[in-house]
Amino acid sequence: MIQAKKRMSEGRFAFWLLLPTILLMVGLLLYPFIYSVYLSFVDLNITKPWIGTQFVGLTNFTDTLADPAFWSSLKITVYFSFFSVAGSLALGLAAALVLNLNFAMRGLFRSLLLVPWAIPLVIVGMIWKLILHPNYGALNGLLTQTGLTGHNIAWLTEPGWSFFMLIVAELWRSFPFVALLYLAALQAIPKDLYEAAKVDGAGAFSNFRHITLPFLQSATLVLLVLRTIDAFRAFDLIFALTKGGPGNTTEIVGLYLYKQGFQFTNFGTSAAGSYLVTILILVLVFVYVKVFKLKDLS
Amino acid sequence: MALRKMSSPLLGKAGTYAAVLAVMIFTMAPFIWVCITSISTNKEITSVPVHWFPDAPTMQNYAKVLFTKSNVSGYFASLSNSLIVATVTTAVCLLFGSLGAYAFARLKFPFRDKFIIFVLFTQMIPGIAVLIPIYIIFRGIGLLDTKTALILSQIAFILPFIIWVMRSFFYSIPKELEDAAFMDGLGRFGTLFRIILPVSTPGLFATGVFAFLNSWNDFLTPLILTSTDQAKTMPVAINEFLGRFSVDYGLLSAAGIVGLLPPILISLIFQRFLIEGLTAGAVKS
Amino acid sequence: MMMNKLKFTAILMVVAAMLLVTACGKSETGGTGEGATSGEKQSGKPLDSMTIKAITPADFEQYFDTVAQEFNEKTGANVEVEAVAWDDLITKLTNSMVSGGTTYDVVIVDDIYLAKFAEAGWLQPVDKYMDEALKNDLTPFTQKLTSYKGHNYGLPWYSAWKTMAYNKEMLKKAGYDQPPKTWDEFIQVSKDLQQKGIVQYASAWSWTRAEALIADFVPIVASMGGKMFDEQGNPAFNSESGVKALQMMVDMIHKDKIVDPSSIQFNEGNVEEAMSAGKVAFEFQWGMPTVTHNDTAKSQVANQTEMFLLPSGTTSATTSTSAVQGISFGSKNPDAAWEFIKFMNGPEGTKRQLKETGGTNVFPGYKSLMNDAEVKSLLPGFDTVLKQGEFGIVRPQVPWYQEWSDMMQVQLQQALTQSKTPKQALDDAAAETLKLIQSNK
Repeated sequence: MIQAKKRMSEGRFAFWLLLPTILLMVGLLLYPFIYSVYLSFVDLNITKPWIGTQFVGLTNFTDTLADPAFWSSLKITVYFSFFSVAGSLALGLAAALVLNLNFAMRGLFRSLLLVPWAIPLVIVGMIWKLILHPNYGALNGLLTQTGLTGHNIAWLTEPGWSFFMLIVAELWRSFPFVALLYLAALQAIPKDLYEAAKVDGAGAFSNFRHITLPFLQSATLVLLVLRTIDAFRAFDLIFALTKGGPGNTTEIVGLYLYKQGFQFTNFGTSAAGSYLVTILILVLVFVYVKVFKLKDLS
Repeated sequence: MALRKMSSPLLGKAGTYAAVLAVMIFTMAPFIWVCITSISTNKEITSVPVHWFPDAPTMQNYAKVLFTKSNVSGYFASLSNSLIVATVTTAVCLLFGSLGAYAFARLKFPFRDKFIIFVLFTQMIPGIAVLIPIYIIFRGIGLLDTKTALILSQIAFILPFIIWVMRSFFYSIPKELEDAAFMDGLGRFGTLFRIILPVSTPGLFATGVFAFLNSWNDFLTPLILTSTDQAKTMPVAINEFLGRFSVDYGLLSAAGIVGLLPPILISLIFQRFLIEGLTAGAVKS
Repeated sequence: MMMNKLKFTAILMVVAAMLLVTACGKSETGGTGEGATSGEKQSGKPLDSMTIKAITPADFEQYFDTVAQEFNEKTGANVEVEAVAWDDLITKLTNSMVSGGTTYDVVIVDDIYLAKFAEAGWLQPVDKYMDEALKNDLTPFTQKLTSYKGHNYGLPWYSAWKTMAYNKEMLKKAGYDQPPKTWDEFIQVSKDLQQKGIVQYASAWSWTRAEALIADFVPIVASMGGKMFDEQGNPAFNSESGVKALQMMVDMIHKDKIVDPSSIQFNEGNVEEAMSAGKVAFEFQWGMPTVTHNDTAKSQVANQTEMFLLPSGTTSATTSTSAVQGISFGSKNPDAAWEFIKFMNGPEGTKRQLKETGGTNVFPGYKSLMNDAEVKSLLPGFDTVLKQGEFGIVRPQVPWYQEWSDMMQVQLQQALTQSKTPKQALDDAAAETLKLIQSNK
């Protein structure tokens, strides 16, 4: 028997492996995060340099909580997240079911799903802005040429339509990821289950409910969490497509925080606000996991 | 023996193809529209009714975007910045991330479970929450408007993700492989680098592509941390175009196409790894 | 062994790459073009081998480049120009100031932001560079807009105001040989033009969620006899005249339907586009849009447009603006920067800009030019424009203008999209304004 070399202890090995990661994360995440705690309790007075940094206690937090624009942006973010998550899951599942069928060039079509997913969000916004242009856009062109509407609709200036179109653009770019994930899950379902069901004379809907859905549970939980976090952190797409407009009907909380910090140079308020949002996100994820863990056990 | 369903019993053959077509049209139509716009002149773009395909297709928009200095100087620079930043970020994250992921997957050490939760949490923090302090810190040490700043900031949010996904990958590697290596006299590092990593290349490719895409597409970080051509990346440049050339639709489209080609090409080339990696990493968590 | 070496090499490469990148990042002085401060050609020019960094809105990029080139030939100094969208300008400048003020030497600050920048110490006063003659040559309104609390901060650039333009061919077709003078007439004529099928919408305005909206709102309120703030500095825009003005804007879109509803998304560029494409008959535009409309390369309505005054309720009105081209506080070359500013925007430079850009967006900010015969000849229809300038109003000059404008834009757009009544929107805006005043004491 070859004498096995004495191995480094697991703990030590782990230490060396994790050292760079720890250094980087402490320096680039932990430290800034703690620094932002400091920031949320001071006013840097950037535009009043003769005053300099002032400790202001909880003022930044109370200011944010008293700002109607903050609450409005939270509300819009919640709506946006709801529709984005629900819509992308539904759309993604539908697409996955379709792509799970057998047909020619299935591989090619599956690859094309990657196109919307890979495009930088700023460009997604730009693309949809072009499509939705009131006078030259493809959508209005299509609608008027096929006679579905009589005149050009100003999609991005009517508050209702603007939000709707934002969701459409967001679904377009996010459903592929959902679809691919569901597709993988679907393909892991043993085919003989369906065969057996067929023998028993079960219909398509029954199959879906009793065979397909249970297998999709874990994927659904993962997607719910990922998509929710993604939606709450949304920024690029809205910045490029509507910049929060018309008015502030699509101003999501990320945009609000950005403005506070980088247009009005209120870094303290922005830091305080982003803490509040972080807490909200953490609570949501906590809830999700608890709900699904309970379901899992049952 | 797998049963090959020719088509859904619900939809029938025609219905299946119709559904597939619908999904594909929805997926590709906006992209195709931008392509068409990018090879049209502004005159055609702004003519009514809509020209579904230009009568006189042209490459002048691309020429303007890439080569004309006076109009769009800086786009080329931004593309090169994007490339440098994305490459370095990906390399660093892959290297350190896979090392760390292995530790989480295979080794026992104190606080292991707490750590992994911490890693997960870092993915939930809204970008702006970390970027504001980073902005102020970098401002203090004179790192604003540099590619280094971008690389460091991006590592902060991409590294945890790499760890998370690669961890799942490492779970799926049979322990016998490592035990055998140990029997053969390889030490810890030897096993890792000579046995484990080569076997994980699909996962590495997948996470590598993901890291590259995340870096390339990142908008908020460079928006906040950069201001001039020396560090500005492509998404920021495009956003500036939207304001500067707001009615030059042909130019905007061409710039957009140039900007989205690298991530799309990379995704398509590595799609097999990408899809395996994403789904494995996500489903097995 | 191989693997270990590989790993080692890999780490080395990564570290090397990062070092390389850092080196690249710190040594470049700016992306596009000629940056270098080396090139020792002792041609004896005064500012040899100096680099001046400037920023400009995108529409002026070409002219700015030309001037930069000439300045270089004259003085040997290298001027690097960065062009950005109008609305991005203030964000970029703010960021530059917050991070030390060294990104640009020569900056352009719109009059609405001058108070903020001056208070924060972000601009170097230029009193010491200006002699009496130059100071006295500034017209009263440019003097007001380029100085703050007794100090001058640069020279006027893009002094302009908005005037109306109308398509006289379209009006003639409908049987009008005079443009409307009052708002009632304006609405009447618009409806008529549309009824006769000459245009789908008689006018489009730049009422997008940006500064452009305020630039229109202010004069329209003034034309009804109202104003933004009273003498004590309290909000006065929610007075009867203010509400009447906003109500009229809302009605023109939704009730009378004479304004293209896309106006809520339009900036000035979109409005000019619509006019040049013959889609609308009226526009409210900065400078002298007739010059652009007469350019057959870009416009389909050459020689069909003329200027007229903003319709009046009780009076005509317009927004006067003048940006100031000044020196950033962090600039290491303030003297050279001043030389450039004087070259570009002193009386001679301004006259030249008028000649070369056809005065489309620049009005003489100097008394000596206002009466210059050559200047007048360059600007057809200028007398109408001059007349409009007599009704010029300046937007509030307060350090918190940005926050105020942003808030106003939201309220106004809510009224324009009929989510709120004009009275509600303006009352809410007034309440918010009071809060702003309070928190900035």
